[in-house]
Amino acid sequence: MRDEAAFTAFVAARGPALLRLGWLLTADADAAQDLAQEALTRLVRHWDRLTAGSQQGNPEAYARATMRSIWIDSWRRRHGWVLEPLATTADDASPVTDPQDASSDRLDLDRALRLLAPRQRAVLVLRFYEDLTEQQTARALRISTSTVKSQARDGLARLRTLAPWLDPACLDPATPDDETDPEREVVR
Amino acid sequence: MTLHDALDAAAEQAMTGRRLDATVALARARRERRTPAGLLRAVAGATLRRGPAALAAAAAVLLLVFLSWPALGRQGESGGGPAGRPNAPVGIPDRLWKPPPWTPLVTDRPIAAAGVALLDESGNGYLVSADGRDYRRLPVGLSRLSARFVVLSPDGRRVVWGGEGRLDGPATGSSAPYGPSVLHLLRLGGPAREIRLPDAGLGSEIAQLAWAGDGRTLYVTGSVVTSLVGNGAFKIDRRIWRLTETADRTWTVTEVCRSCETGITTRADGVLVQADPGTVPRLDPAGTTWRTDAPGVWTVPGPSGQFLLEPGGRRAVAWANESNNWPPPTWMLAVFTGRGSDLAPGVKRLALASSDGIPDVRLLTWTDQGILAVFTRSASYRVETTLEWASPQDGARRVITRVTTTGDGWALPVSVSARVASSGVVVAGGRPSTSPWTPDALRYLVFTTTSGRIVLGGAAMLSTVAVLRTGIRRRKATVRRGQSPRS
Repeated sequence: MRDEAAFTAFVAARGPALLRLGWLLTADADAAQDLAQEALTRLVRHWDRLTAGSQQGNPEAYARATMRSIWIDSWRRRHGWVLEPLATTADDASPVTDPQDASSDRLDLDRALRLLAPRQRAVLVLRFYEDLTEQQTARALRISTSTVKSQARDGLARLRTLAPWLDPACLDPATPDDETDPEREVVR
Repeated sequence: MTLHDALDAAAEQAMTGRRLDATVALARARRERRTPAGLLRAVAGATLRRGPAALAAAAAVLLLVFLSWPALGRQGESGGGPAGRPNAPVGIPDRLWKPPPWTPLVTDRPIAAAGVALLDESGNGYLVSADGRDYRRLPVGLSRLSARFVVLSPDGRRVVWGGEGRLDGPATGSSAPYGPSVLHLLRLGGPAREIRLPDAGLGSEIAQLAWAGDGRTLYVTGSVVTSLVGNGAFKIDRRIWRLTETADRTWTVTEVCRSCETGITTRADGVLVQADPGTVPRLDPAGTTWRTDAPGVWTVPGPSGQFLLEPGGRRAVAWANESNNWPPPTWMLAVFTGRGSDLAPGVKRLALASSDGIPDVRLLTWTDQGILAVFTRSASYRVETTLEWASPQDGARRVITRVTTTGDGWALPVSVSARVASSGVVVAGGRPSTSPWTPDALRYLVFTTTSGRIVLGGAAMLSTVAVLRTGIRRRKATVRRGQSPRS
């Protein structure tokens, strides 16, 4: 790598965003850190190509796509990335009663995300956090577009049950414009 | 607050205090790049990124190989030219080696005519061209069993090989003692035909093969299991079949004899001669009774195993055990003289010195030069095999070919075409390549690659793996269905 300082600066600046994506994908802090670190290792190999020359790319988009593919591959291999057992099941999970408590919000969204099926959570994260189109989500997860739609619908419905304190408008997000810009990649 | 914001806030809070370490990523990348896998990945990645350039380079290499094909071909051919060329001398090679595994298949690189057929200890069959310089491998994998027999037609342009059911073994759970017997008939330059000998569903076993003089008729003797008696015992019936090549290059199988002995050979005029025919009724091709006094049917008293007729058909020779006493058994070459329509019982013994230590003799053919046979003798922890002429008058023997055994095994001559044997010529045997990195092997490798065999084989393997993997995953998914993946 020619410019290690630039890479270090990139990690310092965009590392938290990658960690957040890792947590949303894995719902586990340690696994999220491992996932992001692995993606960074792979990014190093392609850093020069992505940051220099006429075909300059977007390192963060590359890292995010790498994290998604690593996680999806591992999830598909293991049929669900089982990290730790839960004491409660989805049916007996009770909603939070104090919607104003940010800490409680976080904990319960965490729990609600964990109680989603992996594919539902993957669809929600890719569609509404990574802002991928339905086609891109379907391609990434290697499922059909109609499955993406149904999984998103079911996942949102489940979130409404598990986390009723969330703003209903938040759980009825506007559908991203799938047809006009199918290849867009949003970078935060 | 949007769902995106809610997720982001939850993730931010969950990952508070966590950070990514750039130095760790850099160190890991450096370490992986130093490993062979890392270097390979780097090269592959670079190649893929430079897709058009890599494709162009590969195309250039392929183009170069194909352009140099004729030159490679000339280098790979032996000095005497391809086998079967009119000007090439035809004869028995003075040396025979076991061909290496990379020897080309005869179906991929045909030869015009074969002079000698070899069989190695693993049941792989090989052909040596009529000029003794080129080796070819038989596609024995077609039969799913090791070849037990490889027999050349008199003109060396056809070859039959096959295995008996015993090697294949009965199917699991089956009470049949044998599997089916399979023969492969190949006209050099044409496709191989697979023929299963008819049986009663309980398997069969091939005993002997004999080509008729025209090279389009083959006689096969063998045993068919007719019934199971119980306790693993079974009844067999000895049969003789005739395989005839039709005008459209297919082969028809006809049963010519039932309950007959197994020793057969063919006379120069193509007539089938049977050893010790016994007394049980048998059928000829027309379905009438095969009579021992019928025209064209000879009986040979004495040994019922392998025997040969002289070109004139008046004498026969057999390799026989003269005495049943042990030790030591006394072996002899017995020559029977014809008298009338039968061969007389007067036996002429061709002496073999006891010090020869010959445990086995395989009779190949009888020509005007004498009796051509393979003699195998043990000598201090190794086996020496020679191809020799034996005189029918006094048993004097003359060595023609020494079979060179190597550390990786041996291949013995099991058949010589009558055309080559009757020529009486001994030619310098070409040694097969000792290295796979020869133009011939390179051409073979490129040919198999470009003909898609490796690609197809790889695709088949990947497909199988994919199907198995999918099945396993679906099974697991079925088991887990209805459960939370995290429960």
